[in-house]
Amino acid sequence: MADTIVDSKKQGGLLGKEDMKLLKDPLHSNNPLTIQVLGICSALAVTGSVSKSLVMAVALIFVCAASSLIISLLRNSIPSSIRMIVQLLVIAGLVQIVEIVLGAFAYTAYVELSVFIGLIITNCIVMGRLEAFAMGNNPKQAFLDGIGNGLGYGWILVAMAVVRELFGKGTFMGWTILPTGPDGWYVANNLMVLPASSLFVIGIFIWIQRAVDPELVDKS
Amino acid sequence: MGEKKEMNVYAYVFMITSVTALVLSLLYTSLNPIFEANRAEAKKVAILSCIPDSTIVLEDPESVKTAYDSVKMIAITTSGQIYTKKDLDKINEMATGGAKKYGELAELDLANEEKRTEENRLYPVYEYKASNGKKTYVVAIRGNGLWDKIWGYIALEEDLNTISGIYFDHKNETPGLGAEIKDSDAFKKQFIGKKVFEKDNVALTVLKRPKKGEHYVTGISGATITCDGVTAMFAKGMSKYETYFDQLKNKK
Amino acid sequence: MGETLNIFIKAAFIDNMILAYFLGMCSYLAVSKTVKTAVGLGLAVIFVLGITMPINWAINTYLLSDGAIIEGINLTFLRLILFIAVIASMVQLVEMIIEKVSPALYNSLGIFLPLITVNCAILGGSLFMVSREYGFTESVSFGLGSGVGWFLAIVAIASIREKLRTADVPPALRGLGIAFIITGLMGIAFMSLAGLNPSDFN
Repeated sequence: MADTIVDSKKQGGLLGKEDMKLLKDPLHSNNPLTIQVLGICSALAVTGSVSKSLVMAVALIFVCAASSLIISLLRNSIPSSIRMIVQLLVIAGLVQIVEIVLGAFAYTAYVELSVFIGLIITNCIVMGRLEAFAMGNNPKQAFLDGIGNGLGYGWILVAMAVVRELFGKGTFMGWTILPTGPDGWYVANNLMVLPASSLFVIGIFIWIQRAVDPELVDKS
Repeated sequence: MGEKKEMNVYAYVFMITSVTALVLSLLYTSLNPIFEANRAEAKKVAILSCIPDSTIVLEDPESVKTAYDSVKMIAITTSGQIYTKKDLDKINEMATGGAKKYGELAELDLANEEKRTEENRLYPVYEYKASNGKKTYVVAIRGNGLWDKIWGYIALEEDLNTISGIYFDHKNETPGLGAEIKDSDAFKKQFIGKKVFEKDNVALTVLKRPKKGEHYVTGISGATITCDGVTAMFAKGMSKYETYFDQLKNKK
Repeated sequence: MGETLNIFIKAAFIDNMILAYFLGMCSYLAVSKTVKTAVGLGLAVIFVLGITMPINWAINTYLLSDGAIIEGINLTFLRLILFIAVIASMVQLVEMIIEKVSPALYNSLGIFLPLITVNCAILGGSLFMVSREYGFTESVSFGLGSGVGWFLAIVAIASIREKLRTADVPPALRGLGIAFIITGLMGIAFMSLAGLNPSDFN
């Protein structure tokens, strides 16, 4: 179900109105996590700390944007029978690059994220955007769409992590905000540190989002 | 729109896989050495983090290097045999059971040693002398947590019994519960000053309820099994060093 | 034999792919609207996990590890690509089998059958197998166990959601929001199983 092809040539400048829509929609009305329901697995697993979520968000933005760009460039030459295999190959290759680069330049993040770096391959957002958009649009738009969806995913991820880390450990990026321990007054909410809590947090985010914007309510 | 001229499927797959494989192998060969260096550095930092010397700045690679260079490392067996850097070939000959061979003594790793039969198994001892002459001995132990393996480095004072520093790590313990053995400074601080051995037995125990005593540490609420794993890890791991410690004490 | 059974039980109930690790959420949430589709997808997942685990084990041990082909050659950087290729082919196979055996099921599963390829639980399972250094029989046991665990979780939530349709849920929470919260509660319930060692009952 490909989105209709947009023509940015009608607008002037580097980023026309249609282009900005590609960047803005995924942040709210077409958010990959809360509306499209894609990419949930990693959102639940890495949101325990803000630093982990930031690394994951950046990694996903890179993979989503780069794969959308590459697939869009190749879209007219890929034989239709092996379409999905080529998509998977490109995604897997890019994720492997991320893993190698992280291991060399961000070793602590690499150790913390471990298995979940590889799981970016199965992140439905990347595959989903390739099928829904990149296969039918020009490279510049595909790239922007990739970045937009990556940002939409990234900001929810970091927001969840801020809530979970702040109430679960009293810290933000490792710095103490609410002092815990024998000298502090804040009793850390241990539920927030457990992986199951991210389901509650995301459920509440969805609730807030749909309460604020009734258009998004599930009418089925 | 025009007719889409499709390239032969096999040619296409071959082309795209070759390009991907080429890019990846180039990237891997150039960056892997940096990755291995990171891993070795992380291990050094873990060992040094136990040593109670405020002149060591763990965040400064220069400080880590100077400190680690002054660490004397040996490997011992449960029977008290000592091997040094020079005995690397002999050490690799003892690599039975599919255990990997080492490029240098510093690579000694308990996870790998587990594959060997007990009489061939080596345990590391890191000896550090501070500027004021005070010696610290760091040893390595390994055991089972709730979900998977746990391990740690224990720093001992010259009496080879009082703990002066500790480092724990785990493969897959529950964040916020079992994982606190690594993350909680409060938990780790309890170990400092406690004694491992009581006469000839390992007496260090992690308890559910606080109890006064030089062998007792209070566990983490909600992480009983991981903490029991820590107690078992001490019992098994520290007993391996008993013969060597006796030898060292008799030498003095 | 005991250890293999141990791994199976742990993977199915205690290390449950969905409720303990939260892998495989996307299709879990999307296909759990009715019990029938949940059962169909669950069975397909058991099959794919059970088959891809040993194949990926073989590839990892005999092709990719340090010195597997020739001493000194380490191909671990190709691991992700090869694993996902195996998974994609197996899913293709499953698709063809289901289309022949039960066209009705094939139609009701629709797009979610090929989407098993990108089900985090499948790739995640293989990556866990590598990280935990399982052997061959352990891989098979782990694969089948994880599949059964996934199956149980998705059928459970599908049954709950079918009942929820007649419940009085606030509009903004309807559908997705409440599904998440229920899954969270199930996850916490499953934590009570943590630490149970099946071998203690032998």
